[in-house]
Amino acid sequence: MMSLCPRNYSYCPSVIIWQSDEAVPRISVTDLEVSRHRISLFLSTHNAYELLPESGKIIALDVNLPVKQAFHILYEQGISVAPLWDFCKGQFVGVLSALDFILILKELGSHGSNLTEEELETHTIAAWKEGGKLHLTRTMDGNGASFSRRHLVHAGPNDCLKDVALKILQNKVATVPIIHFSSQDGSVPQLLHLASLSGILKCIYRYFRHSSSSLPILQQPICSIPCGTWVPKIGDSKPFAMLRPNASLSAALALLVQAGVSSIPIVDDNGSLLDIYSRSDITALAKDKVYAQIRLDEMSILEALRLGQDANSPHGVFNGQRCQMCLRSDPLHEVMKRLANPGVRRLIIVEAGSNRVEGIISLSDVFKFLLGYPEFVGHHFT
Amino acid sequence: MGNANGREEEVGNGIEEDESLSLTETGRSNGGAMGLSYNHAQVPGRVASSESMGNIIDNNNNNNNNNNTPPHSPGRSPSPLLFAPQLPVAPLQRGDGLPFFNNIWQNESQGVVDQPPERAIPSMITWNYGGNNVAVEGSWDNWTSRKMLQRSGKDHSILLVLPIGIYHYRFIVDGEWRYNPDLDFAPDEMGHVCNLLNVNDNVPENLESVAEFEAPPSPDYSYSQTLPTEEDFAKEPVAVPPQLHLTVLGMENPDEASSSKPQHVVLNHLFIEKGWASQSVVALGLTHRYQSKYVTVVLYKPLIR
Repeated sequence: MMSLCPRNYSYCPSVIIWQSDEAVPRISVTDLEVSRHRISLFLSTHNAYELLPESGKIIALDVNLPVKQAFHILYEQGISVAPLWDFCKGQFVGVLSALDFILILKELGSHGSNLTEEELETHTIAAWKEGGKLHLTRTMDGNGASFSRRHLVHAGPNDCLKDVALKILQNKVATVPIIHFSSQDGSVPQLLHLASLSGILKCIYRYFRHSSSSLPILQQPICSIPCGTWVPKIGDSKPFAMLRPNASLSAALALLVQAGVSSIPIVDDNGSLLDIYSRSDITALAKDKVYAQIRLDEMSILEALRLGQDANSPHGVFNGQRCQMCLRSDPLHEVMKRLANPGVRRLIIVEAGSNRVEGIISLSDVFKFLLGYPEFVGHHFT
Repeated sequence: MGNANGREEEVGNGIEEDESLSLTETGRSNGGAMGLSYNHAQVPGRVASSESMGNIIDNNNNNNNNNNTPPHSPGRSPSPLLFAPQLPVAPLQRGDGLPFFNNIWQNESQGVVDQPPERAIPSMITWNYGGNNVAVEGSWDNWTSRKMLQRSGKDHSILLVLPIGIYHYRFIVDGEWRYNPDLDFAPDEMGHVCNLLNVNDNVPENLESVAEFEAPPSPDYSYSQTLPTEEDFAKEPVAVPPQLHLTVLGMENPDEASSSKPQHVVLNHLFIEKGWASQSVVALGLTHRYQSKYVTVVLYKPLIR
């Protein structure tokens, strides 16, 4: 049984009108404006070069690799996204991510799929990106546009952090490759880094943590600011997707795609948090080629998660906990500090004691709030 | 050095003045006492807090302009680029049982699990407007402690080793709050004007300013070696120089790989995965440098037979 609201799942940007009658501290508009201005100033004066670690490693894939092998490589290397290199063009042409696999698996599982099992062996990433998704995009609502991108969203090392963050938000991606073109005509790309909001947040956090008075909004508890997605009884009445542990994998994948979210909390009958299923968990199906042996609607998400939780899982488990939780009374700077850890993309807001899910706050929620996006930002990046 | 002695007795270290000039291991536990408050008599109430900062200011032990030079000589100024920052460690317990451990420092490190220790960067703070006793207080420890500056004539200075970020700080010159108008300043939340210290880890590459760094001239050889012929290809290839085995590519642990700088010798060499002949997918690896940072790219490519 799934505890889903039987409505459509299109999500709006994170401006939430509070109707709770609890006494929550009001945020002062000046505090908000001052904080936003300072963060915007910081992000505009620092560039993507600062995101690079001193010695970093990136895995890239040739675009002519069979999709199946790419899947295995992502799993074995413990990564969930890899840029794609085209030898003929001599350029990076796209990015392969967990979402691609979810779509491929759904395609395989659906009736009338035009991909047989043998074809999957040799079906290359290039062929998938060119043709395989077209019929799917027509059935998407609103989020379809982000799947049919023809060119790579990337940034340069001298682009300011604000531009990088806006590119990530506007294109609804998780990472943006930082590429440096070392020759005059831009023909020799040098891949430097995969930038994500997590890295940018870490820069902000490191820079401001010793002068917290300059960002007063950070002291506010998260329940008092319009940031994050909340369950209907606390926030406004938008649907909040959650699943029971025995929900089928195909239902989980469908929900991830349709709702356009990157993860779904798994709750028990009381609404208490048990675990979380994210898009990146899909790569665990590469273990022992499970994806070839199962039918998506026969496997439960609990079983799917167990696959990924072996001792040798390289990606895994950060701080010994898969789902990072926080309370609604936690101040924003505490939430930011935890989101600044690599691998943590979201915190689940729970009620103290019972662990009942109250909401989710993610990296993109925090950035949209801090940048005043999209209301106050006029750029459009493609 | 009379006041140094008097101060030590207050504190109960029991260290002779001569020993204090040659600190090695013991230096860590009272490095704060030696490096920071050496030349000035301290108010007793201040002693504990400044010593609790000792664990952060370990590097003053390596600093040339304390201990060995008499107060009036200018001393040698340390080059921040030349010494490696030490990781702060908890100082040894003193005999009188006062805890050295700074609580703020402890909380900081508990929050950061599974990450490499925060790199601390040395920064110099100077005061050039005279005065007898100049100290500085800052937001690096939430204004709890005061550090005395080293005096050389009319100038006072101190070297602080701090993690990256912005800090507010103020000078206390002969008991008065002052700020240095030559450095960045801004009002803080209470309306007082403080100086700003921006600690950054981007050390700009400015090789021209380092005199010892002239590139050596090319050796006196000609490049007239002939191309290899067929019989050369029939021979076994030359053994790979052992330095090239120092690549970061084989490292399993991503944390280890990302914190170790690759050796210069492996840059711009293309590596291929071992045992590639039997696979259909091969991994190629390349490490290159971009400004001061290193990037290793591993590309998986299908092998077409």
